[in-house]
Amino acid sequence: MTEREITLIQESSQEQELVITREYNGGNGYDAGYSDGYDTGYNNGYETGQETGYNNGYQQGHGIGYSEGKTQGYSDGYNVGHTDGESAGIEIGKTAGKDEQYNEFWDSFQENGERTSYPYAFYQAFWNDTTYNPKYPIVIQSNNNTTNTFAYSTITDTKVEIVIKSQVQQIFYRCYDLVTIRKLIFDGTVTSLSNIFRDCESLTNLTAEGTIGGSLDLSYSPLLTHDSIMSVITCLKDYAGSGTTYTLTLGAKNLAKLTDTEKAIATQKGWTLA
Amino acid sequence: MKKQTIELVKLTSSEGKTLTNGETYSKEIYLGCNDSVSNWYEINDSDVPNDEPTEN
Repeated sequence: MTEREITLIQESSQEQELVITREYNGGNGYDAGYSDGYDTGYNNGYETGQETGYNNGYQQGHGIGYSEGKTQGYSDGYNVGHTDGESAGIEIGKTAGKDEQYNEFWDSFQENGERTSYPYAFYQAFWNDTTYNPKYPIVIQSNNNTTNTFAYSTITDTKVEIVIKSQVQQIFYRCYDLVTIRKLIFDGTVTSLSNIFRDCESLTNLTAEGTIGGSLDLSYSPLLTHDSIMSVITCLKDYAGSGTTYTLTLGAKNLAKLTDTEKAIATQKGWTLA
Repeated sequence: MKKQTIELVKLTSSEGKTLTNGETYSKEIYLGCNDSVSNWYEINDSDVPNDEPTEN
């Protein structure tokens, strides 16, 4: 802004009047002031506006995001939890139902553990490791000659103890897949054990307890372990001095597993080994 | 100390023969203390019966 002093001199008849008028126009002062003020205002306004805008935006965005995230999280968590809970609930329900059915069947089939007659009870291939799952020991104490209890079944394991308290025959007849007899308890008064292991060609593990009172044939089971054979020999009834001879038929392969001393345990109790 | 002498009597069939007492058939027999050699005799292998039990 420039300043120009104009001096007007008016000449009048009376006196000379000096009028000094200062005139301001859009000169350098105005421009400079405007420019500086604009720049400063712009810069200040920009910084202030930027900070304000950022803060406002952050707060608003944060609030909205938080709120929406919380809502979505709740929804997702509910859905996943509901699905997982439903699946777990179904599995628990299935297990409970299965247990109830298992108990209902076997309690009835084995008369709550009181059943003592099992002729043909597990006869034929329907009975396998899945279907055969008894709840109670199997006690055979029938007045009749119990026969074919497990004949032709495809079980590999007897699972429970089996107690023989009466005359039996062909109990495990042609149980080709039978590998393990967990525990077979003999009553010493039983003298007829005809063909109970006939064709049990896979039989490997046999735990005998009690007293074996009659001839027994294990020659169809050449895979028997040494301990299984000794388990049987240990249970042989002692007939020494009675004049009675019974025969334990083992077959050549099983006989070869025994020492002479072990064989003598049987022969000294009045048992002939074949 | 206890000393015990245990007799183990073993019967072995001749070639082509099988030992039997009328009920049991085998190539070798270890006699029980109440059994006797006289209870056992040899038969031809071909005469050993195929004693399939009667299926009830």
